[in-house]
Amino acid sequence: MSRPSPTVAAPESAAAASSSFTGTTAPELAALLHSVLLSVRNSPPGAAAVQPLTAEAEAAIGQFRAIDAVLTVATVFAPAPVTTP
Amino acid sequence: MFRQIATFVPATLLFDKHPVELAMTLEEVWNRRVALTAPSGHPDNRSPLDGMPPWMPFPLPDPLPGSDRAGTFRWDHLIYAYMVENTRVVEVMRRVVLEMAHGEKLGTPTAEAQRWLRNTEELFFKDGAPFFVTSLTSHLRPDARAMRRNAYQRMFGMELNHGGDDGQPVAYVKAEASNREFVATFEEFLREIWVGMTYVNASTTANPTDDSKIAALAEKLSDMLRSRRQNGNLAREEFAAVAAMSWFHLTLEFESPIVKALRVESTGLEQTLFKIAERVGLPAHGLAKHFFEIADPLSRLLIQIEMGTYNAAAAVPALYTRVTPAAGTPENALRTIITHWTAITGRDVKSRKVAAA
Repeated sequence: MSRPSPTVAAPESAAAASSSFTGTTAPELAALLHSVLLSVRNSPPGAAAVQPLTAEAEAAIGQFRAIDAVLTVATVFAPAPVTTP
Repeated sequence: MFRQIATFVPATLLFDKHPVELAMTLEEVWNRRVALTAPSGHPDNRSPLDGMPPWMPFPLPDPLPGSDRAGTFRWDHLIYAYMVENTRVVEVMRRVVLEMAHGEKLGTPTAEAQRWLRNTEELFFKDGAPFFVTSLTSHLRPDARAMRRNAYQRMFGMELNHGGDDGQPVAYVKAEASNREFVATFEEFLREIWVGMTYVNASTTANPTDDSKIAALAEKLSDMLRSRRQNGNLAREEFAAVAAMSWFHLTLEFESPIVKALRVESTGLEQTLFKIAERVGLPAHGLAKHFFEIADPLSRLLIQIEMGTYNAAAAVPALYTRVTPAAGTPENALRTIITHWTAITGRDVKSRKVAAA
């Protein structure tokens, strides 16, 4: 017994078949989504969220760098003196 | 301290110096505190006490930066000594000196190694010559190990993770006035910093970073540390402990005469320590790498906290905001501290505290 082949009615058009309840059509939604994704992709990660440092914070970093520079040990030790025969 | 000096003079020459020259160099470091006009106990001027007077003989050439005794010098915080000593390096090196002095189990030391042995024994395993800043042992406190433990307990409320060479606890006087809340406060501080690091780039969620709370915790830490240092208290103990630990740290970091004599050269100073420990039959701490890694950044951070830099909320973002270049910044140091503190203590400061409902 052969099964009846399903018959799918071709949509009259993609827009007519899938308009949202607000009336926005699928192509419009796709365009909107595309622009959102593109703007996210083009902005550096977190760039918009990081607040600029205050003068106090900048000064604290400078102070830490100064302490670190004094206390940091050289990864390459001072060279041994060259002795001449 | 010796690690900083080794950036100006070759470490090989430093190990070769006569012990009195090294002792006098330490005196000169003490005399060249950053700002002698700062209040006693401040990180720029740890003590009101004088080192050797300037007319005393001084090693030549001058091993310190600057000329005519003009340059200033800063040394590490006591936390540096605490972290390095936790690796058990002092006990291991004590065993090396002991074995070399009593027999040839470890081989016959080379000429350079003999100088290192003499310097190490003279400076760190012997009652110091009178009047030196680092000569702290006396009839009243004969054991340098106990003296350091007392300083750690007073400043951080923490004990070392090991006992003496024989495995027994080292007896020491426990002070009534100590910073028992240091660890809990510091961990809360780290936890809040981690929240700041996590949300510094957040753009779509509410940011729970609390700069005011971080500033309050920093002020609490600053106050408790400075309280122990009033009028320059504990300064000589810190100086002596930092000098000793930096000597042993440099010994491992650099291919020092004793490392060469024992033939234990390795990649990574903790591996060198493990090899030496194996040779002398006294295990070092398995987390030695974490202790070495955390010692430097933690020292710098606590110096800055003691200065009161982060007592103002406006300065707090410096602790969790990444800037370029990242090297030598508080944010970079704190990432290292958080990683290794978690490894050492087993308490994950990256996780939020669970509050009872």
